[in-house]
Amino acid sequence: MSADGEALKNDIKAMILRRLRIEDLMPGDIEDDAPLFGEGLGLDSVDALELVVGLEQEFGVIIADAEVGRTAFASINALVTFVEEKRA
Amino acid sequence: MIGNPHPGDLRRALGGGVLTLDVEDIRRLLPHEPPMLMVDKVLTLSPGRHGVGIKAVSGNEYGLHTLRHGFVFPSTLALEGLAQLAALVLICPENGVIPKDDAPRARGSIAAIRSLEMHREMTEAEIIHLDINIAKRLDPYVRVEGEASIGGDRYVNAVFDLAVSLET
Repeated sequence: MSADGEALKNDIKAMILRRLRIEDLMPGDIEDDAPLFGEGLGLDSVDALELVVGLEQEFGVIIADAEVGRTAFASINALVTFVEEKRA
Repeated sequence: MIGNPHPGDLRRALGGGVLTLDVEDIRRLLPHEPPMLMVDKVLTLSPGRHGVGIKAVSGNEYGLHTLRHGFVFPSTLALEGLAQLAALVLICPENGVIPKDDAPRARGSIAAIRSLEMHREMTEAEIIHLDINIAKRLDPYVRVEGEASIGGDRYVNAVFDLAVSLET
């Protein structure tokens, strides 16, 4: 992954922790390939809306519906890929 | 109770797809009954997008008098009013027509409060002006930005997530 990709990954992880007020983890504690919802980071469906708003406000990327969200939020790596593709 | 003078049709008064709702319309769309009905009239409603309404507080509401402080209207009930107005905006049909009087009504709950500012107290009869915008939708949740004001002064500002469905 490029330096820009790594920076984007860290920015997204920091956004998730800040938006969801997760204070006991650091960006480096979030595994890149682990699921964000259910197992892994353990987020729920209410958290998804906050992340959708955060992506729109902080990264200029719109997630149009829940189906797109399911793909984008599969993992940190999936989310980084989604943001990069939308920005390309 | 006087029967609904507009069976089947919600009031459409402003053109351009903008609706107004009286209390009978509201009671056909929401399951809430007084004293927990927190929207008395909808002044303008753009289905799925925006709504402005009012709640008239008389000062005689049951259970809101305290021995030490007299009448106190909890600010959280203004938040409930914003949520009920948002539910109306979300379920009100674009054409202002619902099929029949026993059509499904909205059932919803506040899933998350993202920010809440309470600017003043309410200790006497006043009219609350409610104003909400639907900021984002991700089924089944909706992000709502709302402001309740009294006489032009801010009363409650809130950003919250609502889960709304129709009764089955």
